[in-house]
Amino acid sequence: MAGDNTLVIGLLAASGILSLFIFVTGGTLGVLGAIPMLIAVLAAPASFVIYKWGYWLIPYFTQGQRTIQSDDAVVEIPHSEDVVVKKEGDWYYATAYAVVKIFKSVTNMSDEEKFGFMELWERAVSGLKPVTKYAVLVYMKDLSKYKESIEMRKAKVQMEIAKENEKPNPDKRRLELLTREIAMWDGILSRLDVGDKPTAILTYIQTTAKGATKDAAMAAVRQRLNEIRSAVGTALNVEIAPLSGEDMKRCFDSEYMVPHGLKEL
Amino acid sequence: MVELTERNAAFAAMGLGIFATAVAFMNLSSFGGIVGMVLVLLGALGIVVTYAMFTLGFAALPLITNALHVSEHLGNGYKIPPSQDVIVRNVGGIYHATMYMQARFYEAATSEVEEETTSTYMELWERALAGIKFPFKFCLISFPEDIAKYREDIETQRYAATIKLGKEKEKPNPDALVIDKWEREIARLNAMLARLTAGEKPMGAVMYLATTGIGVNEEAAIAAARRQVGEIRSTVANALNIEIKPVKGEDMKRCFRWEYYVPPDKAEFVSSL
Repeated sequence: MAGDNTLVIGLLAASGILSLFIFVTGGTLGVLGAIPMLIAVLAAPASFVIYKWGYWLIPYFTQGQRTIQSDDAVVEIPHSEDVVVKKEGDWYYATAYAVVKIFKSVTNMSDEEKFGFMELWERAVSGLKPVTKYAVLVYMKDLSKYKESIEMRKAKVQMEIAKENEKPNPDKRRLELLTREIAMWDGILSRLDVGDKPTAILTYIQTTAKGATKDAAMAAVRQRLNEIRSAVGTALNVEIAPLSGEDMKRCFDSEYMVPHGLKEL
Repeated sequence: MVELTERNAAFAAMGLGIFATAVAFMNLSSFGGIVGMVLVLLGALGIVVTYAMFTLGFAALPLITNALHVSEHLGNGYKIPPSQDVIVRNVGGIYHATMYMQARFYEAATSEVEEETTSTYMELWERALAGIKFPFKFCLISFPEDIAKYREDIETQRYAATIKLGKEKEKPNPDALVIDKWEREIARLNAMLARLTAGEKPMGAVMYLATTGIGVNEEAAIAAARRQVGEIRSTVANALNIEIKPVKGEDMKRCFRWEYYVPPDKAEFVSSL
């Protein structure tokens, strides 16, 4: 890109200087002046074409490359695994993610509460100074882990039933409840067996800060995330927690949105 | 120092193109009739091409890369095929195809709609989300607007509406419908100014959606992603009363980059759009 920019500036300069030269000489060169004029006329639009598409046009025309390499998806995740760092030009951009824990469903809210919540949301969003991204992500749960956790819960209930049955006077009501729970887990397991994909919803906030060094960018983004946490968290009365590790990667990496366990489907 | 952004590069190219064309026009006779005319025409064409690329380049790029069969590798296994409408990745033999869509809201939830409509939207949104059984993402990027400029724009609009209302009332046979239209417009702008006075800050927003299709090969994953896009367009667009359109080329790459970082300053973010 830096090389492209030098070429762009060179073409712009050539166009300007040659136009100025013809303007000053006032056509004394006659037809010969048409050559620098032609270069000047073509260099200006060529500079923009190279600025915009030079990254693939130049390798295509000079080397016949049909596959262009770039590093748009190459990011660095430090050991703390709570931020993502990307170097663009001379700057480092550090991005942090935080989950918004909204426990109340809108179906349990009154119309007034819903409207109030939306108003609070708009106010919280409009009150933030930095550019902030809010996202709702529907992702696939890791099928093997999910299935295992359901089977464990089912086994636990089965053990409770056995314990209850061993008692001299088993509680029939409790037994019925536990039997129903087993039916529920069986239902979920059978849905998984027929290919129903288990999904979960994650609401998160993403913010970026830039710095001259990696550490400066990381420190700035952590501070910025804290500001957002307090502003949005207070306004909406919700808990906002920073994301790290696999939970953070889920926000930008399709590998974590669609886990390997899904192959079993 | 002025940064070489896309806007700056386009304006510099158009400015110098206009200057070069004007110089060619001034020296038309010294270059010789036909040569001079060709230079002027080339210059004019160059200005048009630059402007078209600046405004419509995002739409033209997928057509050109498709025709030239140019694909792009973004690193980490991500690949953009020549159609430039999907990002594909091979993860352990399973292909993931991600498509992005732009979303356009036509009204804020709390400004011009009834309380009942807002609550219905929220319920429909929650139900739509619960019904989605594939990876899907709805993103909103917000940035603060310049409050002074925003207020000035609204005041100018209100002033223009007041003049139009006055002109209509001065007519010998004023149209009641036109008067009503301008009165409502003034009331709307007054309400916006009142919200600013009450301490609300204006904000700009960019919305996009993404979905990932899975398949055992690239074609299957892309087909799954396209099917999911269709499903999202019908369910989410109806639930939220928004317009959803798939994005291609540079717009798609921009959405992809925003997953990793969003330009933190408003000026930088707006110039990147």
